[in-house]
Amino acid sequence: MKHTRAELKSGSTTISKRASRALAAQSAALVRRGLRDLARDSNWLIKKLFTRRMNELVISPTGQVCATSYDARASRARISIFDIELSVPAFNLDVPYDQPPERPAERAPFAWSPCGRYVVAAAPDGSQELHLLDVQARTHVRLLNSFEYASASLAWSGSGNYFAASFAAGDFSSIRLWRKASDQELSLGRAEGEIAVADWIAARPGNDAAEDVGSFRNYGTLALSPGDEWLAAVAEIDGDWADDYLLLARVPSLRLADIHAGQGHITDLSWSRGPEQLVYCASGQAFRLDLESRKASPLPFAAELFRCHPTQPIAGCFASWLKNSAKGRLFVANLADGTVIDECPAEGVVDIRWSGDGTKLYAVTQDGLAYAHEVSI
Amino acid sequence: MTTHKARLPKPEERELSEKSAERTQLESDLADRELRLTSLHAELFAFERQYLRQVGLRYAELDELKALLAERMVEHDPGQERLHRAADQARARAQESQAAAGTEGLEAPPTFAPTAEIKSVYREVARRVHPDLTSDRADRAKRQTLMAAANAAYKSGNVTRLHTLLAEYEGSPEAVKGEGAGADLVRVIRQISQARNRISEIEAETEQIMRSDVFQLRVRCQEAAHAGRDLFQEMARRVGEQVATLQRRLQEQPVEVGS
Repeated sequence: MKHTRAELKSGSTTISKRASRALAAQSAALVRRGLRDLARDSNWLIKKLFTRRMNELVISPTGQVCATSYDARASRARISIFDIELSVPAFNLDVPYDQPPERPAERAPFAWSPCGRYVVAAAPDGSQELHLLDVQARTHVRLLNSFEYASASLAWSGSGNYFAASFAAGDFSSIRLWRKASDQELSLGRAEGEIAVADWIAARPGNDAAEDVGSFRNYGTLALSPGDEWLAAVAEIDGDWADDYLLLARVPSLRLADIHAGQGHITDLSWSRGPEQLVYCASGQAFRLDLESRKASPLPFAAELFRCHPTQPIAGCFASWLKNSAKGRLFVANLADGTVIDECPAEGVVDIRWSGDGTKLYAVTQDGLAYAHEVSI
Repeated sequence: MTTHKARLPKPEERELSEKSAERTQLESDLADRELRLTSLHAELFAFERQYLRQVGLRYAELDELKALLAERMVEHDPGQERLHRAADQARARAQESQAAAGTEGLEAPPTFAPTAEIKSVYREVARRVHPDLTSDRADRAKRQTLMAAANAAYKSGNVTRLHTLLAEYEGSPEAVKGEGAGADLVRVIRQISQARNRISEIEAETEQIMRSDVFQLRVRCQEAAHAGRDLFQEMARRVGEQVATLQRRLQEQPVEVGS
């Protein structure tokens, strides 16, 4: 298609009429684009997903958000699925809990499969069941297992080959890892590896006799490395000024390779791809842990949530406060030069995630605001 | 002297009377909700067309220039496969934007602003001919046709057409009722059930609309208007700045690959 220079002058580019084809979808795309560009200065699309307040929200690689809702009339907990990407109504999935929760959920961990089709959901409020749900088919697949203790956190590896869960039981708390047999559905029978509290308590750095096992509170975030070589886990320690521990274990045996003392409470973990590096956030500051030297160095970003991009040296982050301001912000950071590429004011963000193809960053707040950032790579 | 004893209504007649009152209330409720839903559809349709005319056309212009720029890069360095792919993608996007904005935007109708009269007539039509207020299959089919025609007339502001549709139905044999209290009671109960189902459908549809991008964009525009700002104008200006930048780049020779 050739155009003369004269044709390209301002006002001379003509928009000829064409036969309409799937016009509704096309004009909807233009509306979405305008809405997204409205948030520019930045490149963020902001939507309201739900109106009530929810704490446990987990985003999928396809931009769906999983949450626990409670049907007060039927006295039962359900899994609610909201969609950031598409303007479709939310839907609920009923889970046949053997022991139905008796009150609204305070905490119910979820883990999305890497393809975004399945979700593993723990029963809220102390029940010990883990259930597998097919979100695409909108069905409950099966009860994966009923354990002796309640799950605290769950993680699915990026390859989909491993699944990890932590169980909260004070001194008997543990982290377990399962391997998915090829071409089979996830099965949580005998674990491939396990970390007990006693395994790392004695070996932790600066081990002090005065500090006893009782200071351990729970296991926090779990994260499997992209190459399925490492599992990183947070061991949370009681006390406002206590330092949490970062446990680094080999997959699949979960043999402990390192125990690293964080600088405060650790709020998030994320692995970057090739070369593999672990980033963690402690006391509102992001740190990078070098796997060879096992030394941590601060990154030039204040952050409580941190997600490395699946292929590029950039990360999506959330910090609940800005310098000289009570406001928080979501931002995309360049890990190569330490600059902020794009940012958006935001408060109360509880989860952030990159889409499977890395083109979008999603975030969701506890009061139902969802953010989508489109990245030009 | 003859004593006249007042006949007490039969149980089914009493029940019919109560259910008829309930149905009348539901008719009114359903008509209100249909009015709101149809108005919402029409308002958003008009809003979207206005957006396409004021902002969408600028996006189409921007995408056309991006496609030209990508094609210029291919001409400059035809050996690079990634440039060909980028040019194809840019051209496809330009065509999509042009199709959406070029056709729809140019023919944008005026803003939807129904008068009190047309709202009132539409509400009466919905109350009288709503397909979920009959249990007769043939009558339902006729009402569906009438309701679709009434929706179209309402959206286009044609109050005369609405009056005609109402008169047309009132004169039809389907409008005549009565086969005894028992049969009427069954009919009314079914009509109540259908009306409730339709109310639930309207609620779900309204919720879905309120989650849509176009609704959210309208909310933003209304908020901006309250603050004395014209959001469409601001958006069009921003896209226009990008258009101007691309026009300058296209006039530069040669276009650098990767620029």
